[in-house]
Amino acid sequence: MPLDVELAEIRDFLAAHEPFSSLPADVLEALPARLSIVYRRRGDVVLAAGTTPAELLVVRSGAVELRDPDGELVERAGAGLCVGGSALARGTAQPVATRAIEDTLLLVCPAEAFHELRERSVEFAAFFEQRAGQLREAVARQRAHYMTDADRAVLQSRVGELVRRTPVGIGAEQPIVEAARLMSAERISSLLVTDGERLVGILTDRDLRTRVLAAGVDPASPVSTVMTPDPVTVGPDALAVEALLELVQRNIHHLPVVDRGRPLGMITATDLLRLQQASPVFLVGDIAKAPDVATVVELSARLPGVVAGLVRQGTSARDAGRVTTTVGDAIEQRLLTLAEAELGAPPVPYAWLTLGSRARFEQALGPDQDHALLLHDDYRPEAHAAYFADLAERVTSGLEAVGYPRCRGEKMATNPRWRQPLAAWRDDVTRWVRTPTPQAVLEASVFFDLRHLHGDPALTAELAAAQRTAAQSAPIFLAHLAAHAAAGHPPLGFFRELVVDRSGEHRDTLDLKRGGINLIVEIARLHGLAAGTLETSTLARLEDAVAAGGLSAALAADLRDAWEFLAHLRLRHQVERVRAGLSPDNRIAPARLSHFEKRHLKAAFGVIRTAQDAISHRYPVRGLM
Amino acid sequence: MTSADRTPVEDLRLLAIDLETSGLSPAHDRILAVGWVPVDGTRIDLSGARRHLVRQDEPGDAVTIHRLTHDDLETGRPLTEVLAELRTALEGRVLLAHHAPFDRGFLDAGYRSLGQPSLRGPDVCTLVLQRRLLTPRGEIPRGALRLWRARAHYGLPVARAHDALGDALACAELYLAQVAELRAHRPVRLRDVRRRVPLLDRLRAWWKGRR
Repeated sequence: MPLDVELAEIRDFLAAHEPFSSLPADVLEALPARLSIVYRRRGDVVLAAGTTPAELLVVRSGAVELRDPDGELVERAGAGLCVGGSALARGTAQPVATRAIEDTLLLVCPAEAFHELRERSVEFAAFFEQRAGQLREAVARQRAHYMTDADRAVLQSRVGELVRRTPVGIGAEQPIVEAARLMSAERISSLLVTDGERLVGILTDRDLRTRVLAAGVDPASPVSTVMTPDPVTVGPDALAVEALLELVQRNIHHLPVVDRGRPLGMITATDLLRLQQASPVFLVGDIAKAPDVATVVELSARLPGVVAGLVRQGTSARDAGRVTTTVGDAIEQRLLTLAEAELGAPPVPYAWLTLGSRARFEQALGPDQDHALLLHDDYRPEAHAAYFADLAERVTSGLEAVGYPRCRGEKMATNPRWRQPLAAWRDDVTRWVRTPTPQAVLEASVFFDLRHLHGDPALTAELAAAQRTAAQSAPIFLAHLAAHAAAGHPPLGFFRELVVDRSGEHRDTLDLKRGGINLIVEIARLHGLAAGTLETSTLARLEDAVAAGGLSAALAADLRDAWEFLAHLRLRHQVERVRAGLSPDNRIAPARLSHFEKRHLKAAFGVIRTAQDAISHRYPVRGLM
Repeated sequence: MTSADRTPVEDLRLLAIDLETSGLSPAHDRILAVGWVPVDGTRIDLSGARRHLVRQDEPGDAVTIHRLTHDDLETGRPLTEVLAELRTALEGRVLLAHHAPFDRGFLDAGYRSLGQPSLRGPDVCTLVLQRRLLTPRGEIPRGALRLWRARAHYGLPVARAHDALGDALACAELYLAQVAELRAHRPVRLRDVRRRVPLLDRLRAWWKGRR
């Protein structure tokens, strides 16, 4: 290295941009002296398609755009963009043409130095191995990444955290019959047998069967005669996996947890299996048995933990959405049952409809309420209105207590407009479809994602069928829906950079739901309704649209991957928020994402744009926006 | 006109230089630091980038501009070594500078003070080129010919550094931009970009060199 070379400015520039930012300081320091600089005027070719690059180009200032052989824009970027890196790494031809769209200064890194850097830094090498647009791989990678953490989390769970209730014990000198009574009353399958504070044995259901009944022992005998004395125990700090191993090796089902001789409780094989399954099934079961609203509220607080468990287990966003939806359904259903139990049987049959994301099986954490009441046409307002208003209010306030805020647009059964007989709903559907004002399209788009939750399913089926035929045969309505679906902008700027809020409470963040997930939902709804499918979930709608010939399989696959990526990103964000004691929202800060995530986020938004363009070509949306 | 004058800019080898001095007068002020970077055709070769501090006892007023401290200058190398190295770096290259007469003036004085011949050959001045490029567009706004304003004209990045190497590099980048503009219209040779020195000045330089 020559002395007195001070190219600090260029070093600092590189240090501020990926993938150079991942290089060790000494490597970064020596790098500028190996580079050269070239200048390209606006309009000049920077790197032609089909040429095998001999060097890596880094935009120092100005801007370039990359276009594929069809002339489609692939990327547009300014300072920091690397051109030709992937092709140089693989020794293949550059697939896209790069042209300067502003006067551009480029740093040039010779192949030799480039390959050395790839050997020096795994991150640097990985940056050029990742091919853009392969969202599916990215999602799989992400899920695998979090799955590894999950395994670690399960391994790291301590037995003390798994003890579910205060220990139920019985004195060693008490009669066996007393032990049996206690177990029945407490609905437990085992008892800790104590001598004062000290644990001396355990007694299980199985002991009562084999050692008492089958052996003809007098139930008045002391517990100490039939218990398992000096049972195997674990301390509260033992790892869950160790406890599981103990149970399996000794072929036992109960393991007392003891802290310095003092019993803390009992863990069972079921407890450990619950841990493994993150127990959404148990949660749903518990909610369905909840005796009152307060218990439903208490149990619902476990939902974020369940979702966190799903993320750790590498569950897809689609499956996590189904689980969250199932728990949400269980909550709403239980609230309805409890309300009915207090109000008495309904005066006319009704159906409780769930709308929006839960209707699509895509519920995230912290959603607004979206529901409606569909009443039988025998409904007479003067006689029946009070009952259903009361029912709606009870469920809505219960949901609010659980943590689902009321819908700001009043799209809830408490609103008389969203609580009406079938005939009135049919009229609404007809009106929405025939005279699609912006407000009508907005209302319809909420209402067209509906699913039967409770009550008479025949009512829901009839309404859904009416919706389906009405929408499919109304090209003007579909055109308006198309205009709406094509109008939302993903937060992607002119240079294909991520656009964040500049100021205010959401500064430096972008809205994954408004700018991403919801746009895909709208696109899928349009294609689904056009195809006449009864499916409400986004991914199922896309599949049916492909089957009906309304959407190309490639674009549908891209949309599915983009949806999965965005939804998974949101899921993880929400789990993190909940863990930090914050309310789950949809706003993420790109600055906190890895470069892989940022790149795939851009790709996902790019897919949405492509799909919107396709819609604009197919439907006469221009005049409608 | 020499044969070198017909060299296309694509094949032209230059050395962009910048001096930090203790003042504005070659007769009374001294060279504090020299920075340079080679330009091969239309490509800047950073491997040849150098910055040398010149050892001295009293840096003078320019210290505040270049943020050079007494310690910096005491650790510098003797002028004779620095200028010898510059002469080697310039072999086969055309001198390139922004406001070249200024740098040339100090270099001539420096070599003269060491009893050595001054640098020969043509030079390319980005300030002159900028004036020539802007003139057809009408009156040139005040300050438009200054290095950083000229760079801004081409959308080149604003640097915060202001040392001899940083300015030499800034000048080299400006040259690439200027040449790119010239080449967009027709082929460009050295004679199209080199600074034209009036006959009287050339005679004067020749006379000074003789003494």
